[in-house]
Amino acid sequence: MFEKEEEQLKNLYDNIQVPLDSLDEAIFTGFQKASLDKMRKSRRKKWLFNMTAAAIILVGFFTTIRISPAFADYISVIPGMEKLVDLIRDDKGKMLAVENDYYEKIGVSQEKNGIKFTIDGAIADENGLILFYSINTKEKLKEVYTEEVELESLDEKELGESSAMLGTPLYSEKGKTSHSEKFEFYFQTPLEVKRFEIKVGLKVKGQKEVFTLPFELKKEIQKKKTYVLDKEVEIEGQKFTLSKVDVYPIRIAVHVKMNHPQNTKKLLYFDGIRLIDEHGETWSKIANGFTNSGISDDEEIIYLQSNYFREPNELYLEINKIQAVDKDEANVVVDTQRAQILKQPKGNKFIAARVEGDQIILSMRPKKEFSYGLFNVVRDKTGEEIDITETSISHSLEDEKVIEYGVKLPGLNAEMSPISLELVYFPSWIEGNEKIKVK
Amino acid sequence: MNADEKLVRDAIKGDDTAFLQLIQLCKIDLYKTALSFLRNEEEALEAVQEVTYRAYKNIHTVRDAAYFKTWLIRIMINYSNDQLKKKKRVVLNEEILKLHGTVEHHTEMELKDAMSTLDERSREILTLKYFQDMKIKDIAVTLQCPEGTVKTWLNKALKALRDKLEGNGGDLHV
Repeated sequence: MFEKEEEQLKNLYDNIQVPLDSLDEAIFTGFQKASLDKMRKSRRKKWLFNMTAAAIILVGFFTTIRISPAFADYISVIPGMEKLVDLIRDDKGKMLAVENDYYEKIGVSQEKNGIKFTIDGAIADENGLILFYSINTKEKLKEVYTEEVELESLDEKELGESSAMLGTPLYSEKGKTSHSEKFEFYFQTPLEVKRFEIKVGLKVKGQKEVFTLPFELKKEIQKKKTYVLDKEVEIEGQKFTLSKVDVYPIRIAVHVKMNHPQNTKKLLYFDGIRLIDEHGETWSKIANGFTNSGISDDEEIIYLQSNYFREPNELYLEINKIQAVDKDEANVVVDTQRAQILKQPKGNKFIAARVEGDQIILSMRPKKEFSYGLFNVVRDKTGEEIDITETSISHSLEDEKVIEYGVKLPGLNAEMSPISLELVYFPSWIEGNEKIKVK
Repeated sequence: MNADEKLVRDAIKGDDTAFLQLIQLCKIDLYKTALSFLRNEEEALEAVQEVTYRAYKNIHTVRDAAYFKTWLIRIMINYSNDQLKKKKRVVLNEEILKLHGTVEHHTEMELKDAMSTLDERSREILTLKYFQDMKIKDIAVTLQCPEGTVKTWLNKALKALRDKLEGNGGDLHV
């Protein structure tokens, strides 16, 4: 019936020339990109293990902030500042710190086998240290990974325990000869050390180079400003206490005591929280980096971008949206043998569970994109905690609207089932409109 | 087929060499599929890159090792359709086709143009059947529908194609 058409269709692409070299290159590039993602994922895991407190990293959507005229002036007079700006463009507080001359130029470098590693400068306060660095190479490179990074004190005083964020590695299909990034360290105890040594392992073309650079901070460290609040707040009948706000040059730490005994819900995560001054200028959460850390079961610190270098007459905290679930529903229980969800918060938001090797994957169809790693404590049937080595979030291949949340649990086996996963994020909220005076 | 299925299982377990070998085996078909949808070499190559990327990241979702290739082609088709939607190129080609009017002997160019004016499903079905030489049974698995439906769709697609090629734009004005 359609012989003619069939014949033509069959012949249509039989005789085309396939550009084999370009095809192989395309495959290789795609493969490399994917395997690099996998490595990044495991690197993120490494950060988590570096942390002493159960801090949660949220690498959020990159929000850019318009550069103020004062800032534009400032960077135009100092050469080499543009690349720095790109690294802090998502954070008003860090931009203000630079604008107010709180950035300290360092310029210490070491060269090895055609690779030059430079600590360009730093922003430091009692709580954190941001090191801006650059890598310059003689030949164009497509990939450079920062492997282990160790920061040590050259003073008599020891450095306190720290959490670190190591930035993104260099990855460029065309190849680049320079790459700028930053390390961020946050300390458990106030930073008093002035002289440091940083050891950075770089992996270039499968070879490892270790750079060791001593450096010194000379700028006086600005003291934090603390506002003690001890204010109880209630949203939809759920209470929490804002204990204090510490304003550091790099970030603001809002201390919150969550989960009062009479609460019926477990408060998980503050989605809507910001500072606002008398002019209506707002300071939101950290966009890319540590957004909060748990100090204990019911105490948490939420990090906001800093207004340290502003002197507002009035300052308020606005809170309007908090992720919360009923207390007795704050976990998901999965029968891993039968891939069944035995228990979950009401509303049946989780639509399926499956087990792949040592990974449990739960899927959901959230109304809006919900890109949080949902779980951080996982227990087996005896209540014993199981280590999570990797968490993943991906869109389902069959249905883009379905998001799959995976947790990798090495050694997962049938004996452990049922597995209980405690929720740290969940798309259900309590909402209100609270404005609390800070200053 | 058995050796290939073992490769698929190895790839799912995280064996990169196995994964790359599999892509090698399917690369020509991937490329041709991309080309039939996107119609230019550069975009087809980009599509192969993206599909390799997606396949690697989602290899754990392969349910049946025997159908790895159809799974891969499916990703390619989805990707290509998304690209086409983004570009709305179909509209442009319809215009060109109108200008050409009817010709007795259809040139390759015309056939490609006609293909690109078909609806998504018809294009998919023709691609799988004639460019990939897939059996009705395998197409049914790929598209997750009964074989009877595939046959119906295929007939519709061929008819639509003929109408586009022969009709004086008849269908095109609808």
